Amino acid sequence: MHHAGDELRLLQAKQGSDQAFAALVGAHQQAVRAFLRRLTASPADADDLAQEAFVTAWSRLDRLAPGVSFRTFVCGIAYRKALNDRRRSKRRGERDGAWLSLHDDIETPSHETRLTLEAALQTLPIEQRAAVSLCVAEDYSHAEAAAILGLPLGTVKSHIQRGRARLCALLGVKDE
Amino acid sequence: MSDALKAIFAAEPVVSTRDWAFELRVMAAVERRRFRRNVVQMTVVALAVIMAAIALTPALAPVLDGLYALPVFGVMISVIPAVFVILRQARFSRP
Repeated sequence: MHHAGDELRLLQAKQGSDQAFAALVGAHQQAVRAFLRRLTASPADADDLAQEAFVTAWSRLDRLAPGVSFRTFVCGIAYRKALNDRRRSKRRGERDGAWLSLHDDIETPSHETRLTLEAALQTLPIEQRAAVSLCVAEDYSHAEAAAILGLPLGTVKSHIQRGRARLCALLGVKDE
Repeated sequence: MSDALKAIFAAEPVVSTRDWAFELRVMAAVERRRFRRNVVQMTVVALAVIMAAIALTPALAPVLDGLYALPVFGVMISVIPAVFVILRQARFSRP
């Protein structure tokens, strides 16, 4: 997931260039926000978390390991922020429908009551949702997804397999 | 693998490719973070300088009697790093 020109922009951003960092934000905002929108309950929450993730990335640019793309770096931060946000929401005991629908005991709907993609995604546990979002929707490799989610490769593959199977069942799509 | 599922994801318009409002919002947040960080740094440095000045004044009294403009010179010198940072940022901001 390396973008053309990212290396130079990263170098300039590390040296303090706002223009270079703005260019990096412009190039990767779509992927980061799309990823977060699949993890959170509302687009507004996702955009707030995406903003926080980019600001945190800016303040930690010097910690970006060589060979790791900026997008992978930001998505990793975004995922941890989404997890923290979810924990905070749970602690507060907010009865948010999206979070409550994370349980696995929801019955698979029949063909007539197919769910939309967004609703179907919300029924998956957050790890499965994140893994499917990265590898199926965004075309990340399994290794990159493992780096972003901070999980072992085998666990990520298992999440993708289970998540995909469940999504296909919910959406009435044949899992190929 | 799961081409049908990928097609569903691809058909779902999620976020626009370019969103100037969001980019502006992020850069404003970065600017706020930088401002906060700079204020904290400057406060720490200013407090350290004040404490050092208070502690060192008795010891430096003989020198200050002879070089009474030394504190003013010190203040002028301390502006140089700020000028350096401003010039560097201006260099990156050139179109």
